[in-house]
Amino acid sequence: MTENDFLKVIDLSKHFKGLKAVDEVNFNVDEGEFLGIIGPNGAGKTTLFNLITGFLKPTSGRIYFRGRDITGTKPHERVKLGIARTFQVTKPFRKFTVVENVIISALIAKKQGKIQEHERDFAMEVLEKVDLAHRTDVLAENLPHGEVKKLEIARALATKPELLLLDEPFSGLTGEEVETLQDVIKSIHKNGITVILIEHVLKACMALSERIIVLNYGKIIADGTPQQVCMDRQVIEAYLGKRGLEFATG
Amino acid sequence: MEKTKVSAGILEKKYAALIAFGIIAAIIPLITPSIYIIHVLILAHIFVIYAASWDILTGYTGQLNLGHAMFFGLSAYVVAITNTMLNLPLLFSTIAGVFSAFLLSLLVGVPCLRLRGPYLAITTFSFSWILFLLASSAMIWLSGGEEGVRGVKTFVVGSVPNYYLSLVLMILSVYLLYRIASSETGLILKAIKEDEDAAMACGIDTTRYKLLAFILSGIFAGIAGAFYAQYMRIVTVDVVTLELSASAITFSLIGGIGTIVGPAIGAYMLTILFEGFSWLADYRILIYNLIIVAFVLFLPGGLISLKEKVNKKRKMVIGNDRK
Amino acid sequence: MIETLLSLTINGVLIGGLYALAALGLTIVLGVMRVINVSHGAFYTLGAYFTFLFSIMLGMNYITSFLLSALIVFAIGVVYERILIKPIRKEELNVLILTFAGAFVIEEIVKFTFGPRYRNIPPYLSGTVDIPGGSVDIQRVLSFAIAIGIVAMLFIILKFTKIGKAMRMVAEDEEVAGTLGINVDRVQMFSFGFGAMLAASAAALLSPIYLLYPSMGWDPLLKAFAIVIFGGMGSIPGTVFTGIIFGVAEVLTGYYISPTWKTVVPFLLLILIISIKPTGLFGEEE
Repeated sequence: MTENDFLKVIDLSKHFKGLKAVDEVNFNVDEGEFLGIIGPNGAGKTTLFNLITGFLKPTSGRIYFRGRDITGTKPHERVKLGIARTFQVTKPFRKFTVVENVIISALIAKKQGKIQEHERDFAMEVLEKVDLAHRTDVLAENLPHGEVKKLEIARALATKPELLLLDEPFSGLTGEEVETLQDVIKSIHKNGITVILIEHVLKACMALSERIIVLNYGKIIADGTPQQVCMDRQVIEAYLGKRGLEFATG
Repeated sequence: MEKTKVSAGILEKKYAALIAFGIIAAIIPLITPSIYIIHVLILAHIFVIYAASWDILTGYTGQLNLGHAMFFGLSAYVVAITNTMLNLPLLFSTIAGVFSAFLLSLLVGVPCLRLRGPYLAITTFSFSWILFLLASSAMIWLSGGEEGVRGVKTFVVGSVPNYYLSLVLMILSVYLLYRIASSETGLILKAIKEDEDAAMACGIDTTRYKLLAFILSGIFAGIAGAFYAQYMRIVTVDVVTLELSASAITFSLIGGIGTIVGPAIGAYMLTILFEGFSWLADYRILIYNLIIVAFVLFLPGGLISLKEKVNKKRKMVIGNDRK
Repeated sequence: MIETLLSLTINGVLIGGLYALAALGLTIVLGVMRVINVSHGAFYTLGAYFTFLFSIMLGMNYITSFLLSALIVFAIGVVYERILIKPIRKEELNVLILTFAGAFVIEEIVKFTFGPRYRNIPPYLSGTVDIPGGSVDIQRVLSFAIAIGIVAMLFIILKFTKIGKAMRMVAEDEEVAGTLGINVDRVQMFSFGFGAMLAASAAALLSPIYLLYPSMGWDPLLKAFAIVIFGGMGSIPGTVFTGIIFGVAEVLTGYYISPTWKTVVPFLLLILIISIKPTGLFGEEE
């Protein structure tokens, strides 16, 4: 274990009633990387996210962040360390305005000394980054789906993370929305935040990620560049089934 | 700039209303000869604190508490028992009473931290039910059951002094709770109510804040209970009944849950109204509960939401609505 | 000594089975609708008083009275759900408040209709069965047997019938059930009525054993709550088992410690369990 390991996941497993949702998973993420995690439905992607962010306790295995064992820590402690997330099923504070949603995170970040400016100013800055500044005073419950997705990201960004985990940010978006959000995420990554992205929309994931891990039945079946992963027999099989493989390889 | 001006205006209005209430409340004893009216108003003051203390936990933090009477009742019993049986000076009894409510809030709060929704509601209900069973039967040797614990001393003698004391206590308590609720802490509590997972993802230590809400809620209900004990000079099983727990919810609902001020208004009005309805005698509970059903169905935001509705309408008429 | 214990335990089991029946109604409503029905105890009260009305006041035989009151309370439950619960079902707190107030409304109506004083329904079967260390009333054995019969029926309904399967699917995932063409509203309305009916059945079976009074519903309500938490929500075996444990704990405490503590002990146990395992004895991890 060296200090320069950014995120290190070792033999991580999570079992539900005998079902191995995540099964002995090992991988590293370097600082500044953009990692995509793909896999068919029920492959254990979201469970893996919940383990990394502390929303679930692993059955076995360990998680290290910047050389520190964070396995037993609570979600808010991980946020403090710099790990933020979004939810696949969006969870805005419905009765709050857009800016209030973000202020909550900013408030905590301020208490932890991560930001200096007033939390409202910081929240506005973040909203500009995700292109929501024009919606400041709208109640979150009145926001269209696409903007709720952005709001989730803004809220995560306002915690001043070093590692950002995005759980299917593109799901349910129109093609145009996907494109603008892709730009937003790209610029977040450019600003030095390490990103892990779970995605069903393969195209977007392939375009953004520098490296991709493929999960199937809770196990990693491939780990490499988008090009390598695309060529992988097991991956195609997992996604398309055996016949698909025959079709794909002619 | 403009925005702060507007809110300052609202603020002034708010304070104007408060000052007006303060003045009227202060002169009531001077203009009414009726000790009975004073008595009802003292009860109203006590229940205002009680309702507002429920609101900080359930209205703000979303932790469903169905057994709020337990804090009120335990404190009242502890004051009465330590004062009459242990002959503790009233001040110490009061401290003991409030402290016991604080301890109970920890006892209930700590296991409840891990519970959500129905589990939490049922557990708080069960806690208060235990207290009721103890007071009404299992520990009757201590509680006196229906007869109650009698002969509690009072801080001040007479209705009017008690009136002013309760008034000050009420204003202080509601002010404090309101300040907390409108602070950053209040916003964080509301975020927990809205979505606990999302709050955690924002970095909020939800456990800590929920416990804080439990403690605040318990302590202020304890203060109300302690005052009740010394004012009534007798504590019976009435202070831990389901009806009392239900009334915390009712007061808040009718005033407006999650606003502190709403529950306070609700408690004040309903206590007076409930006494005012006493000519209805047997039908009182029925009518009271029918009103609650009607509110849940037709005005779940409580009376305070009427104001917002009026404001909205006015805005629309002027055509100033920003949308 | 051992024989006394055995006899007490048997008596506890017999009562516990009826508690389980009342709790099952609550757990079904909770599972299918995600709603805590505080009026559940009031439906219990209604079941008892309707049994009283038919069997004592109108002189019908016991079985007819039992069936009639179960049916009527089912209908009341359905109407109650449609008019009062459905419009606000998504608001957890509002449902709690409404059913809390609704319980008092029903209690008051019962009080005005039947009077505030205690009523009693004499056992329709007299005599006792000897068991080692004592005896049990035939009445209790029969009530228990009927209760177990109802639970078995419930089990079959949930497992094999169309409505039962629909209920389980709605409990699993409302939205998915909706997309699969299940009329979620109707299933929920039915479940609510069904839950009310189970409360009424338990009351009808217990009414020859306990006294009737307008606020009689709160005690079984709180017990049902505790059993539901203990047993883990939505688990029939868990609920039945816990109900029986409750009955036994109550009888044993009443005998060995003090009759006034017998109602308290189960709740103390409940809080102890909750502190250790928040999802109850049989509950699943989240």
